[in-house]
Amino acid sequence: MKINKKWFAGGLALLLALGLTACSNAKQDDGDGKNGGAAVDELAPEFTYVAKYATIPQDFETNNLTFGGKVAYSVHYSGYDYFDYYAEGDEDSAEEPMTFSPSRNFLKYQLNGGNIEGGEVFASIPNGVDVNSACADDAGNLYYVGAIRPETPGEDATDADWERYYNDADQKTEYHLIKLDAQGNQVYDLDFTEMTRTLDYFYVSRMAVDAQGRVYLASSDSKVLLFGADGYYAGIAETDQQSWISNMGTAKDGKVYASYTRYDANSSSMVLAEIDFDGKKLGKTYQNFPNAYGNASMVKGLEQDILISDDSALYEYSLEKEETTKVLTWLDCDIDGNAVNNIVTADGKYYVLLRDWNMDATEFAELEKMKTEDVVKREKIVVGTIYQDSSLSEEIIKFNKSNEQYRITLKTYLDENNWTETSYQDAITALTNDILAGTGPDILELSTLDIDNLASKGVLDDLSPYLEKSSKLNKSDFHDSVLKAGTKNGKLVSLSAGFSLSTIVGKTSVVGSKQGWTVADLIKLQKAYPNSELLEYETKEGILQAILMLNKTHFLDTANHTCNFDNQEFKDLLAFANIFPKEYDYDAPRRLTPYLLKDNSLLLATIYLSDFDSVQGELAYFDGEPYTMVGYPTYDGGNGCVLNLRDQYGINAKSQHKEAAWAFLEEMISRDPMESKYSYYGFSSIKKYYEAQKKDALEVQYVYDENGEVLKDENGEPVIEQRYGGYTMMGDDGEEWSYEYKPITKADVDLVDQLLAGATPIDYNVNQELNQIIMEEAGSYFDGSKSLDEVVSVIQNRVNLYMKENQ
Amino acid sequence: MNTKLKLTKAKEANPKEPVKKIKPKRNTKRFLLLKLKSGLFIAPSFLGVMVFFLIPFCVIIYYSMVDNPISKVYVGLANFKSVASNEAFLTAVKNTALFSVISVPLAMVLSLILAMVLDLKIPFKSQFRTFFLSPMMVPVASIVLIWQVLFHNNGAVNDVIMKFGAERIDWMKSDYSIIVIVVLFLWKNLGYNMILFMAALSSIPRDVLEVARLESANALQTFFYVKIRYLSSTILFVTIMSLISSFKIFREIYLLTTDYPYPTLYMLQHYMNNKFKKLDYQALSAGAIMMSLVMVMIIGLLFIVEERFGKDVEG
Amino acid sequence: MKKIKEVFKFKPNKKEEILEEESLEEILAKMSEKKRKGKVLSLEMISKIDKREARRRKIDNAIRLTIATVVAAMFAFLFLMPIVLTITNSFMGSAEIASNYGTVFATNANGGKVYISEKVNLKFIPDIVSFSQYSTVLFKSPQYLLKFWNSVVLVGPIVLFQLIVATLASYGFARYTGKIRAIIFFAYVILMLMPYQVTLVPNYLVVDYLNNFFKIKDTYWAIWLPGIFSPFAVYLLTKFMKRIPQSMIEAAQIDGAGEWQIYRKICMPLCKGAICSAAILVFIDYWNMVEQPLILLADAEKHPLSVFLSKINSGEVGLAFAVATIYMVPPLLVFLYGEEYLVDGITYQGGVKG
Repeated sequence: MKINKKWFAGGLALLLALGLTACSNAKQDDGDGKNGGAAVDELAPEFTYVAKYATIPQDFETNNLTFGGKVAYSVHYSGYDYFDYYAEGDEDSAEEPMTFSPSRNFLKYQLNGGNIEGGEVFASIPNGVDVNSACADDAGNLYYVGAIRPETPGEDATDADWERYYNDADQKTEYHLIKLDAQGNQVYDLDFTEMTRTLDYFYVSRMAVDAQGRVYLASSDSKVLLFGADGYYAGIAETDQQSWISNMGTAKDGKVYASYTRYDANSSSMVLAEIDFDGKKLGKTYQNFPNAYGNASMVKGLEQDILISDDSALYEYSLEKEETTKVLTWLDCDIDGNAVNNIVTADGKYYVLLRDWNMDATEFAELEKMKTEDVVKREKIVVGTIYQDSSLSEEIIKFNKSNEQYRITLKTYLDENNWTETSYQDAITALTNDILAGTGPDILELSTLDIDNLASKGVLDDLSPYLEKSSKLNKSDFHDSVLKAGTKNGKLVSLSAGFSLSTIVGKTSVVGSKQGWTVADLIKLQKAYPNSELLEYETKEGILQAILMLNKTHFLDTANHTCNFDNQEFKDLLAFANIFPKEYDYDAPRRLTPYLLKDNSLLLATIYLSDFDSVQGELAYFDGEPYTMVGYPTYDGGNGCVLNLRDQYGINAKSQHKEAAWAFLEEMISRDPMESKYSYYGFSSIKKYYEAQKKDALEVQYVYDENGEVLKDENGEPVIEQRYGGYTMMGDDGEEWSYEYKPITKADVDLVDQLLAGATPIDYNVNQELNQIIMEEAGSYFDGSKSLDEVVSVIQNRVNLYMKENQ
Repeated sequence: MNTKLKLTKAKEANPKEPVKKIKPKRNTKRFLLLKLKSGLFIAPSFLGVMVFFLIPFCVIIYYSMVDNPISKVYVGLANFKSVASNEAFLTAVKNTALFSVISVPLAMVLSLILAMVLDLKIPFKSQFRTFFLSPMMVPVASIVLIWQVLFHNNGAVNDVIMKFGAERIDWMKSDYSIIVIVVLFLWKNLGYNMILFMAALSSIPRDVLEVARLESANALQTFFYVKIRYLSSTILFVTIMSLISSFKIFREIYLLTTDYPYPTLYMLQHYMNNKFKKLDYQALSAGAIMMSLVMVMIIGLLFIVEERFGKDVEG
Repeated sequence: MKKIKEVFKFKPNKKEEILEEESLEEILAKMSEKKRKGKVLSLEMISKIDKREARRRKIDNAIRLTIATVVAAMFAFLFLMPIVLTITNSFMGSAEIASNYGTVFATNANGGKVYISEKVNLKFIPDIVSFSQYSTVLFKSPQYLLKFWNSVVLVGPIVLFQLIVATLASYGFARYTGKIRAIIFFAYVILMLMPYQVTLVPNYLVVDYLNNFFKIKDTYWAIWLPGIFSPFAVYLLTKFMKRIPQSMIEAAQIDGAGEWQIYRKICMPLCKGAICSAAILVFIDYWNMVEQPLILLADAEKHPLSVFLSKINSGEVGLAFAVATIYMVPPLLVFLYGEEYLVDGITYQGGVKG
């Protein structure tokens, strides 16, 4: 072996060398484009950025808003336009002739001392031209892509005409590239429609101009159209792998760069590439660019080459070092990263334009760099969650802006960028460790945690005293079911702002009229209709899960710390679940659900109710026939409806800032859901808001005619405004089924009340291991490799062990 | 007589005085200086062990006396009582003890026998040595994969059994499961133990063996009265190493069976791991302390035995 | 006489009459008597018997040798099988692997195990030899090599510094033994045996506390420090250092050497074997560590390769074998290089001569 020793020593050295080179490569080519090394120590940054809001003109237009140097251009539509054709309730419109005579202009704004001023008309846009996208350069020249669409069919148009219009629109639209100089005079107008015909479809996702005045249009996901400085079409550059171009912009060096995702065998990374105009291709590539999707295009940076933002932070990227530096986190500046529309650098400062599309609000702010110690210190509270939650971020921003005393920061334990199958467990372990070490968050989002366990350990504080002292919220404000769900061992440990309900429904003629049923009833039903589908997409495991949903604890004997699976009831359950197919064949032709329900080919449907408006939509499949909410089957009775709390918040008993934590919780939960930006909130947990939601849904809007009178249809019935339209489904066999939304009725509303009153809260995280054990062992029975008795005895043994351990 | 001569020779080659630890016969000043200086050598290690091992252990003692790690209410020995009477804990203790009692001696005896078999001048000895060491290199995942494939209800071993007409056994979910783990443990550790013994065997002084042969002792007797004395230190070492490994095997068991395996596979560390996950730190600590007490006794016993038994052969 | 009997308590061979409980003297006396009485075999016969015996012994030996070799080969095969499997499977294409082993790694929606319903077989020889796994690991997805580098960075310092600290400590233990030291050493052994669940959270808490002074949380220091001060190597080396004969040390002292020089010039060279073997064992131990990085390092990018290999999920089965093979190379090299030391280190021969 002596000779070999040298070889092995050599081999070892070689391997280490390999590791070294790989490491240096790896450091540059970071797997998921994760932002490498933040230059700022995030624990104690020396500088923070504070948003200083500026004044903007009152009717500030944000359509196609583009900044160039210290000016900005946007498009303003005025005059009556076919967009406004359907406006009702607008008294003025009754007098105006319904004509298509829109006028569009570019408006010019100046960035002056941090504020936006101006708004005078800069140039007019020819009739019939829609501005597809616009881009300005540092000199103030404006480039835009105008689309001329074929004329829309007139008033006498038939459906066929409209269909033809839609089909032809793409093919007959003309596209022009137009350049205006800084005074508003047209420099050139290039018709490049021919070029667009060569593409599958054409639209402009990003537009950029380089220092030479050459224009780049990113379109059709992976292609960039190149135009020369004098207004001629130069060619197309394309990404490899036809990757979608996520962002494109001009860097400090005046060149245009594009970012796209490159896919490898098992991973993907974000790549930045210089666009080689002359070579008509993408040139040099750079690694470690952030995954920055979003409205804001990348622009030149202040300190580094490129400035780019995503919905959580603002970054600068250095081409030479191929490194990303985080400038700031939007949340820390009380800015909602989703609202960032434009990022600008001017006068050595960062500016950001925020556009809230739902609330139609625009804000413009300078991001002022201040020394951390100079910033007013507020008491810091940490909210800990496992998953990211955008509505929580929104609440945090609102609170931070309005509250002078406290400041909320968010800590998310699960890193969604590096997700693996054990990430969830690891996140829970990390949170647990923090709690143990005493550095846990002040507020905990509990919906993915084992609340029972945490409550029994005394991790969560009792919220009742806070409710008693509070002026905004009271215990009586909440629904009883919600309070019950948050109470463990007599202590109210969590509060929730919203909930949804889910239950199982069947036709009354099939399941009877009683709400709530037992497992035995379910089995009887299946026997009565052996050839029908019991539940949609049923499988052995699915049925077993459905039945166990409300009955997890039925087989457990918590008093004696043991369990009872070794009995006929459970065996019957498994045998029943075994009747169903192992897997559902999604490819097999399937008739539409309403028809299946009609002739009893499908017996039951699961419905999910999250707001009043959707109630009838869910039940629409029954097509008018009477139905009964039988619910998930139980062994012990009950109405079988499941209550799902949307999120649950609790306060850490060991927190040093309990008062502050309560202040935030109180404000967040007591906020009127109607004011919320995000539409999905569920039913409100608070009775008065719940009633308001009810009222809003029940309210009927009528359609008025030109004279302000209620429009009546052929039968003399008032025409009701449709809140939502309708839909049509096409089945695999050519069958069709269409539905139109009607306003919700009192009966529907009462139904929800009824369900809520008897709903059972489900805690998916408690006794999760039980589920795992049962599913794993049942698998071998479903497979046929073990007998029922064997499997049941194994389950009994293992669960018994579990019970004993958790005495 | 000739015999007498040879005996004396053996005696000389085997002086009875062991290498005694230093007992300086100089004056006390030197004594103290030595104590101090050698103490300095120990200092860094001692400090580190204090901070990273001893203090954590004290923390554990603290946790074992409170009702739960969050509210930290002192409850004295109540945790010990409840843990010691917990059926799951007792099952775990039984299983762990059973496993250790089976596998550690088995590992030792098997590896010793194999070492003796291989002590003969077989070819490729050093290559074999490398092969025997190889199980230590294999990553956990590969082992788990192979074991799962072999011992699963639908796996290779059952295949073979069924070919012989017997009923198939769900290895992991029946009372035979301990066999799977013992096999895993042996596979992992036999090689290393074997090599240790091979080395130890080859280091027994030839002359003593000669004497024994001349005294017409047969192989068995030679072994029991001669070789064991020389091997005793190695035996103790191998036992302790095997004991350590028998705890480390938990990682493989966990990957094969998840948190709540079939009761026969439920080890002490499963109990501790689950308690850890549920933040039941007090139960974990109480269990750990009880376990360490038992280990103190066992190790102490082993130390004493080694001192007495092997005293005369330290050379 | 009596002493010898105590030491070598054996009974005489069956070839001669079994005499019970006779002292050696008596036996010898009886033998000489027999000789005188002529009941002992003549020299010729003795030589004949000897020759036959010699032949028999030779055949015996040969048979024994073959049996031994066969046994050794059998065991070698058993031990090697998983490694061979890993290596050959690393040349499989990912489709083949998924079809063969996919179900073994799958987890269901709850995170529990999925019952393996089809028969899964170990495949030794790939149907199609493909280097796709290696090309992915080495070139396309450098994150695995990064993790490999993490492993090296984590384990290297631990091995190096643990040995330094341990040799110092074991020298200290060997040089002077008192009651207190014996107790401390005993404590070392006990602490060494603690399973990780017991020490991990307190370790975490200690690291968290120290973080107030030194900022070590979530860095490699959280793993280096407990590793460097682990009592394992101390245990291994102390046993060895104690065997160094007093005479040598005293001789050095006479020559005027101080403690440090004795340590450096005498003990260290002599213990080279033991140090190497300790190094190897420590290396293997920490190369395979999984739980410590999981708990003490929050950032998944810093995790070593062993963590990744312990949690292969169904998406990565294709790579797992290649990664496992690369993972096995350093221990293999370490073994091959230091194998002799490994063996010598634990025996008496390790250079104590002279």
